[in-house]
Amino acid sequence: MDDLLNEFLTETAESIDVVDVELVKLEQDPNNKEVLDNIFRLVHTIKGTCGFLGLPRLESVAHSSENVLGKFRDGELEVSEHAVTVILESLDRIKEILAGLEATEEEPEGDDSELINRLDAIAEGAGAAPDPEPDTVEGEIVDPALGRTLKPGEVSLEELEAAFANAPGPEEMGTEEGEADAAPSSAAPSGGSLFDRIGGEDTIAVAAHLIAQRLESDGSLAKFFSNTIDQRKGQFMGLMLAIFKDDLDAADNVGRQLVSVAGFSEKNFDQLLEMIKVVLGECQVDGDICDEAVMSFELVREAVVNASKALTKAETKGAGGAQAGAQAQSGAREQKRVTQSIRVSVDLLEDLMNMVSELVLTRNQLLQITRNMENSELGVPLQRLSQCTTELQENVMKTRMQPIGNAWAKLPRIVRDLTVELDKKIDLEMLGAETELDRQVLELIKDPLTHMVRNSADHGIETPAERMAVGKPENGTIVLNAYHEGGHIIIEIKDDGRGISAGKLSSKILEKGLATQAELSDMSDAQIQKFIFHPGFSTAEKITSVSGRGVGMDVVRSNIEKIGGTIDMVSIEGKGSTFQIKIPLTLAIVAGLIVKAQEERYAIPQISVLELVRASQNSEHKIETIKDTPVLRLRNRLLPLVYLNEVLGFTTRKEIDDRENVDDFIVVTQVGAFTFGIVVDQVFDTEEIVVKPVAPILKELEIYSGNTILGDGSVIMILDPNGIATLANSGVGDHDREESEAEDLVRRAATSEKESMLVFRAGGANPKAVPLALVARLEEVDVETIEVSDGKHMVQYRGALMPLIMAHPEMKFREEGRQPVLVFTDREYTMGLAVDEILDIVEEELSIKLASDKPGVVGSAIISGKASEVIDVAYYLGLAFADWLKSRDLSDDAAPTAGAKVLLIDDSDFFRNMLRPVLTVSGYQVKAVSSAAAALALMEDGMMFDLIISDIEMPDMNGFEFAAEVKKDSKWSDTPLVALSSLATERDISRGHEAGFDDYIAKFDKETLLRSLAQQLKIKGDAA
Amino acid sequence: MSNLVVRDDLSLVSTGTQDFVTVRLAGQTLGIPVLGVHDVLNPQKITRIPLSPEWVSGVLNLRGKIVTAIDLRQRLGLPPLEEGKQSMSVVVEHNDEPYSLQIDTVGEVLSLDDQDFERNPVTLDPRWREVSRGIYRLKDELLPILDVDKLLGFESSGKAA
Repeated sequence: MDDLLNEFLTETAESIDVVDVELVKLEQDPNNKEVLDNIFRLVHTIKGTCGFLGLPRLESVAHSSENVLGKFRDGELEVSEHAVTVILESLDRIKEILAGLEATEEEPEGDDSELINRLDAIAEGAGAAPDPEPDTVEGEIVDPALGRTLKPGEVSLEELEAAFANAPGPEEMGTEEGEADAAPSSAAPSGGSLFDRIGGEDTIAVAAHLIAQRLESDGSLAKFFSNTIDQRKGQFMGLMLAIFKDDLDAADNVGRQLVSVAGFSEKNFDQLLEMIKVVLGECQVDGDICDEAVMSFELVREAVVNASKALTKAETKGAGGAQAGAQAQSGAREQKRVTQSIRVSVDLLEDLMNMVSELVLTRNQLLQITRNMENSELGVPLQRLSQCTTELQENVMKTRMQPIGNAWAKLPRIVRDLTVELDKKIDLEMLGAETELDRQVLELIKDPLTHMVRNSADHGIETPAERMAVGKPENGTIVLNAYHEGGHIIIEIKDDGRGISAGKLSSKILEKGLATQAELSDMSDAQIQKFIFHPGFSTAEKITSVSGRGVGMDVVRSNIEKIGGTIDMVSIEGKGSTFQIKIPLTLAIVAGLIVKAQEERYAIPQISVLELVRASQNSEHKIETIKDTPVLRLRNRLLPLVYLNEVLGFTTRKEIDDRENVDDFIVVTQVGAFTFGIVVDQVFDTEEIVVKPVAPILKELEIYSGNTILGDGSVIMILDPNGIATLANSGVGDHDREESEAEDLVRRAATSEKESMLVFRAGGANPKAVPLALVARLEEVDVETIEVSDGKHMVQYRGALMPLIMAHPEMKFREEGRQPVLVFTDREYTMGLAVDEILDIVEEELSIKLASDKPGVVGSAIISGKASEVIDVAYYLGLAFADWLKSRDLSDDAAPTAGAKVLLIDDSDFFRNMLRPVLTVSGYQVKAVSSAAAALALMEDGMMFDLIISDIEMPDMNGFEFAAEVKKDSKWSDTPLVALSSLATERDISRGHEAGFDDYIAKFDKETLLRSLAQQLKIKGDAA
Repeated sequence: MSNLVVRDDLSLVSTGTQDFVTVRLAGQTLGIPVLGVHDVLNPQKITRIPLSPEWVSGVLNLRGKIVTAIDLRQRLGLPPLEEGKQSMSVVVEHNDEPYSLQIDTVGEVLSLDDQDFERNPVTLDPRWREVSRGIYRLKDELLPILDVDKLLGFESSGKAA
């Protein structure tokens, strides 16, 4: 491609990006003169250059938008959303044309008149004020030689425009004659301006055309004009217009750019003048006038020749050379030149980077070699070489670093367009835009980022009306935040929108058949939300032009994972979503952990390594197996393991299991939400490695992400934890399950409303469950040690007798071996519940579906997708200790009041955990807190309950004080208060009533409590 | 190969001579077009790549460049090299990617007359036919010419693997 065109494309694309951003700024702050000036200048330059290169479509679009901008600037037009939208549209059109230009080197066909008309209409809206631009003249000067229209803009640089502007006149009439007639009256009041005497623009256009053609065939001059005939014609046209109109600044400027090749001498200039003279003669310009015209070219002689000399001095510093004649330049332009920078092609930088990488490797090899040599005289120079290499590497890396803001530059515009299209109000906040990262990485995350911000704006942020309705500020906010963290860059995209609705997702998941109802009911909200990363998923109900085309977050995720990054999401329905992307700073050099398996070394990218654990027979950590699946207990979690030796096919599992004196290293690795351990023979150290792609014939091996050369010159393979995880899962176990387990842990930390349930089997096939919080310990009791006393089974346990109760009447103790026992403790009471088998611990939102009238069973709930009986521990405690629970007849148990909200205050975890299922099963919605203070805090928050149950004996504030506080104070004073206490003497009860309790019930008395609750609610209902 | 002509007996002929590097592999001599050969290396340290196709012997470091080594014996269905012997490398390029062909020893460079070139006999082992461009009739032996692009082409390599 033509160098000039190439440069133009790059420059214009950059300018347009800036204008995009600035326009959005302008819209928000219409009075910002500086922003407006900047926009105007950029658009003007684009237009000027287009004309210069002979790109009529581009130019006319740019021109019309410039017109509107001009009116903004002159205060003739208000900056309005509509106007900005249309200008933005015209920028898009320019981008389109540029894209076409880049592809074909020619302006694509197309009709812009509709757009231009709209722009003009806006400009017209300014009223009758005269148009300062001679735009109406455009397109009407016909070049006789070409037979196509020529426009003033075509020849113009911005200085040339100034020349026009300096020759104001009644140009709004806009006819060809009008222009020709108008000029003498303004630019030359005497009527004798050179411009007119030569014959106006017509003649000049013809002359320019001729000069351009002659130059082509002129042996001595042609070499100085590397551009095309059309461009040259534009230049000469501009030059002549400027000279003949006496606009010296413009002439100077055009003159300096006339010659693009070094070595243009005074003599060459004379030759050029000679040619111009001949041409003018041919154009029937009168001899005298012709001489005068040629003389006037002397004005630019210096500029032309100097510019060429400057080219000779420093080809690359064209700007510096141009300074010779640039005194008249505006301050802003001077400032621009001060920053000394040059354009370097990205390919060159890539090459440089590769070379430096090679250099680093070679340096490392040399160092390794000399390390083994004693007193080598190579030492000192090598040290120096090493230092230089390091610095070189750092600096080359720096050339590749770009602020992340570059990737964000388009976002304000996108968000702005969205706000208009979707009728939303969105503020975009961008933090840490200066954070730098490798441009290769930058390129790769640009699209995912844009996509995510779009998503946030489209799906996340609600309409102003919706926002107001839920009490949020009208304006939604999207915050982009980037920062460095330990060799990685973290990018957060946070919105305060509606969050991701697990419910909506679920129906979508079912609809798409991505999971079954049973699977879904097993999942937490967070797990369901993660489905948005599933291929072919899009949650928008309506497909907007913005998003919802089905290529969604899965593409984002795979793009990010492709560059070794990870993405995570936290979304709270109603509050908003936060996405967090973690990516390496650079792809070329990464930290790799060097490990060994079977005498061969491998690198594992440090980014995926969480920690290292050493496991041997005698150490704290030991590899255990569950039916051939190796696992490691790591901080109360089971970590699935894979043996690298097995994955790589070196050894079979049997060989691994048969080893003696095992001493393994476990690299705890994280891939997405899946954490697992890679068992290796040995771990060396961490090395900076230069990642090189593997040969194409090895691409299919997904366990390698590349290879590299180590300091000692040996080649090693870089393992891809992702690939290992996939490989391991296909062979060893169920990836999804493990993933969900990993997510369970995350969730456990994040939410507290779930119950951990211990699932076990006792008499009968159906699993039974009990809230884990109630279980003190799990024990295995040797059946030999079970004794019978007073008709009850007992074991000696921690120096006392512990009664053993069968969890199911049909159950029997094992004949031999050890009996699993759940130990429950409440104050001095300790009992064991014998079960057949302990199955699992799951975390679920406990919702009891069916109440039970069977003794010892609270009801049935779905746990892990299976109907499970939730046992009533209180019943078994009652069985074990006669004094623990008073028996009551259930005859007059009142009907539960469905859905009533009950607040339960008790400092004992045991009771809260026990009462909650009991109350839930009776149809109450239970909120349990552990202290009176917490309850009062809820009151402050404005939460309302139908009934409050409070313990009496509590630290800090006891039940009596709490009741007094509630009754004295407002909001809850009408709420029935029920005391629940183990202090159930006559005196306590009367004290309770005094304090304001409506009822006073002894603890452990489930039936009375339920009856009392129903009664209290009834009273309240009657009163209301 | 220039100006190939199909003769009456359907063997290919062209005028002029071609240069080939000869290599020895399990007693058989093979020719590799000399212009395609970048380097000839003495035995190198080769890093194995577990799980790779068996005809990939590993990767080696050639002046800072990582080169994939192809076990030519394996690829051509020949028995593996005897224990204790090390193979030499002939580095060629395929699709801008360097590959090292592991061979027993390197012979001389021969300038061969196109007259002596002949198509593969139809009875040739299919594995060989696939990667041999044709045969040169030398005075005391026959020299099959390796077609490097076919040897390293994905499609055919899939079958061999």
